Amino acid sequence: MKQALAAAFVLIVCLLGLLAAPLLDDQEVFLESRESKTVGGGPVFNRIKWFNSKDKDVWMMNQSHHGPHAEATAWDRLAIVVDKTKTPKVARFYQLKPGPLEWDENAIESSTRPFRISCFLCHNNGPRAIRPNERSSFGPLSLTDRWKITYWNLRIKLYGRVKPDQVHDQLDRSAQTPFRFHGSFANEPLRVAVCLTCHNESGFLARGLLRRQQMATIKFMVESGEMPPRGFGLSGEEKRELARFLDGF
Amino acid sequence: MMKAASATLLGVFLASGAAHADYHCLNKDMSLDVKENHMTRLSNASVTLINGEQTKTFYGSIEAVDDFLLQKKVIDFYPYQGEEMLTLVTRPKFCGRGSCDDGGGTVTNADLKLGEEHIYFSCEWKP
Repeated sequence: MKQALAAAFVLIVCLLGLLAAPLLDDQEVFLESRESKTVGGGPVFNRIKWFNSKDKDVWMMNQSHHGPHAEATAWDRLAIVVDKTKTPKVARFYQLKPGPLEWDENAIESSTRPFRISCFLCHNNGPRAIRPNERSSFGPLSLTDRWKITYWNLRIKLYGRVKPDQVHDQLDRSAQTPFRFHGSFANEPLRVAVCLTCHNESGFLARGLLRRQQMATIKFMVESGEMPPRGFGLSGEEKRELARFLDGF
Repeated sequence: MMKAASATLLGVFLASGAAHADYHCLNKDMSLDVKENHMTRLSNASVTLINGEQTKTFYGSIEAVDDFLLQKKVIDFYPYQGEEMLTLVTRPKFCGRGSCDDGGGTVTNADLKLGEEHIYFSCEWKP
């Protein structure tokens, strides 16, 4: 009886270990993005890695618009650093020289490159949920990777409101491609009532007001059925209001 | 000197491009023709609405907002009381990492406001 209990205990510990192992940081996931597409509508591939420290989370990504086997220099290298010491949390975005997903605090200055695209067009609230293309013929996800992504997405969700680092406003003054567009029209907020439940500036669910410059992302999220989330719905009038906003009115 | 000359030429090119920019807009029942350089004593643009056999032309003045990413033009129709106007919004066709660029083209939509009524159109820019 004692032996059986001991064996069961060891089995449970092993199972927990197997479940927990993928959740440790410094591991990489390779996937085809469900949302990002190349200019020609082709697949976009991402390698994502998460580094955890007491004060910050670092999310790094290699991204290829040239297929899953593109040469190393053709993969963009990006990073989002979430400062966990602040409330609300603050995110700093980087476009880095192509290279491996290794975070070296001392090499950041010399590796930083101008943005190729304005991050804020998609990133209203720091890192976004990772959405792999489940039907990808190039990179099917393993069970371990699915489990890892689920955990990462939960972690990202639990950040709550994440504001962009104010340094981006300063850098934008001289940037050819700004972190965000600063004009009044591009920053008009989305005021559809059901969206405001989360996409506002304060409260437990706050994710930040959505802006007109994010219309392409909003359109994708609504058309793909990701938004509004389960339990929420757009009324007929809200649908019309949203459609007008997405048309620019 | 060369730079100044190039800048001047570019300026002239852009100005002439803008001056001749027209839009042709459609919805399922009507069409709109927008001429931005239609100068009259009281206006600098004309908008012709064609609804079946009926044609109506409005004259107005353009106010443009260009945020680099998004461009908005409002043509307030004479007698400029804000009751009747056309709003044109141009945005990139595609947007996302690496794909929100000039090569992806743009989309222009129009909102014709006539009193309380709003009529929406999809437009083509005809340089």
